[in-house]
Amino acid sequence: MTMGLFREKGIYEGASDAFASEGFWKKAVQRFFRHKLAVIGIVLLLIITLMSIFYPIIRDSSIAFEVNYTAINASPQSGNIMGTDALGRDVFMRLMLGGRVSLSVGLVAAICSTLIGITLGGIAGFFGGKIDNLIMRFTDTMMSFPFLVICMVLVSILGPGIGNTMLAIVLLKWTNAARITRGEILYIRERQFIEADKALGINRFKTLFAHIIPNALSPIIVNMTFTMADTIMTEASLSFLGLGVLLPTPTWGNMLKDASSLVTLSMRPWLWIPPGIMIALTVLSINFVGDGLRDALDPKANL
Amino acid sequence: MTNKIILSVKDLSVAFHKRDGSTYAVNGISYDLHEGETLGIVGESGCGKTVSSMALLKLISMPPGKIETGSAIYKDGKDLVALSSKELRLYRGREIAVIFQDPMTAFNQVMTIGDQMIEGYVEHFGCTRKDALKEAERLMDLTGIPAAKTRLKDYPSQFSGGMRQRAMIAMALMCKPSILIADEPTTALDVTIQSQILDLMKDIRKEFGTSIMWISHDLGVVAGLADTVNVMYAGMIVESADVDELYYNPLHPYTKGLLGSLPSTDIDNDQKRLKSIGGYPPILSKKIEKCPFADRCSEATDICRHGCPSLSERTGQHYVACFNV
Repeated sequence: MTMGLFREKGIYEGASDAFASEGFWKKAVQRFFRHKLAVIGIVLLLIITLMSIFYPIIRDSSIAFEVNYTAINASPQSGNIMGTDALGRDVFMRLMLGGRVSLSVGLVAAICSTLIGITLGGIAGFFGGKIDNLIMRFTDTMMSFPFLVICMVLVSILGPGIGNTMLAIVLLKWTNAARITRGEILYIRERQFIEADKALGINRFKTLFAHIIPNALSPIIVNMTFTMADTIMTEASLSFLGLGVLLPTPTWGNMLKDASSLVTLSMRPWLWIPPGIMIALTVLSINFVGDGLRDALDPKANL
Repeated sequence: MTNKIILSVKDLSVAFHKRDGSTYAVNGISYDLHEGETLGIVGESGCGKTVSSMALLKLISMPPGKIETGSAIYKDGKDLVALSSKELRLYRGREIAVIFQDPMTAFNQVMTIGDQMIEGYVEHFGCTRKDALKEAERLMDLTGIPAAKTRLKDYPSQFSGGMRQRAMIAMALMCKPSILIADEPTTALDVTIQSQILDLMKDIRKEFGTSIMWISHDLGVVAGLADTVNVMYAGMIVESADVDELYYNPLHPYTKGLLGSLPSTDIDNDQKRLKSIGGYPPILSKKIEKCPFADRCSEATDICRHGCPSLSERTGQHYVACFNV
């Protein structure tokens, strides 16, 4: 009997079609694709990723490892489109295999360090008080270490290798995510919809998972993309210094190491320009994607 | 409105004790809320109207906020002050629901309206999502939101201000609470939407028989909606009466000042300037010992500066806290 009782007062009748029902995620995707640089970034990233995955499958990847003294330091030619290195290995194949390592180290380390950061920052922000103080002072302490030095010490203790490189990066890179998560939670906790949720009689943990974390997620995701770019560079630096991934496994970082010889630097640009460009291009693309995500995931953006 | 009392507040005091001093926001207020009654609570900013109402459900931040000992809030024979926050959760949203002032910020932007509406319902009644959504749809329809079924899947940003306020009212009604606390729900809206929301509230009152506590500084809105009005000043109720009685026959000098400061729409009125009450409300950093209005009151005498008047009945059901009335 009550159905539509107040309907005749609804001024908005018929106006409903003007507001097409679209979800937050659908709109976020739309906003993302309106961001030109982000689209360029994601396309480049896709090309790099797909080539890194499939090129070594399509072509026999052994040319990246087998020493071939008949063709050392060959400049780009039909068989080796980016030439060969000092041991006669195909540079392009090494570049693609190096991409596999760099991208996976970047992705895994970024995800793991973000998860640690969310957990610690989340606990700190949500519970506050002494726990907050304890965790955040620990975070500050971690942040005050000179990163590369500690990383080098860690790797030299653990020994070089892909796994240990990731571990060292994860152990040192979670601090940003923790600070961002804590800051977001502190801010969201005081928002009125959290108070409104309390007024509805919802229990605290449900509020945390249903309201606080989803609202905090977008800056965290954005931060994760930047962490990934950062991690790729860190891995490259460590490998360049001989502390990251060990030869003969190629990475962009240890390929760059060839440039430390003056002869290579001046005479054989095909050995060091490609990995340099790959690092720059990947990091740039990830940063563009991060920018796009930041705009797309802004919950307040309507358009 | 019946004679059955559903909420009885006795001597409620709320203070905020911080490291750099205390604020005595609410100072011993007592009132009864009857079934189906609409109680208007008026007063200027900082007079304790919101704090006193939010304290009913302990929705103030505690600490630093504290409901002082001696306060009691009786609902169905139980003292809400004595309940733990876990026990109190059963009352929040279920027995007493709150409509917040700003519909723009009181919704979570990244969750659909529907999901937010059913949250409390599922929590309190433990029913399925599907049933809850059906109820949400019915209430959205009832509060005048067209195409309720599809709008439930919308996000708050896709709603206009007035619609959001309607959705919030619908959300507050989900659990069929016996009391609705409306904390200035029309302040953030423009006047046309304001009057639609007021009409909606009147309809809801008729339909559900809900008691409403309407917190406002807008005397006009309260005049059109409330049955009874409490005038608050410095954390105290200084006057309480039936709405007509209060507007036509105000007794407390503060109430007179408030009503006198309303702008007149009469063009021929030779009153050029808006009247105002001189001075400022007292800073509530100390417990009140004298009449808090004494310094601003033209009728104040010596006795006002040496003691604090308590609320007492004058003519039938008209209560005033003033020595000189």
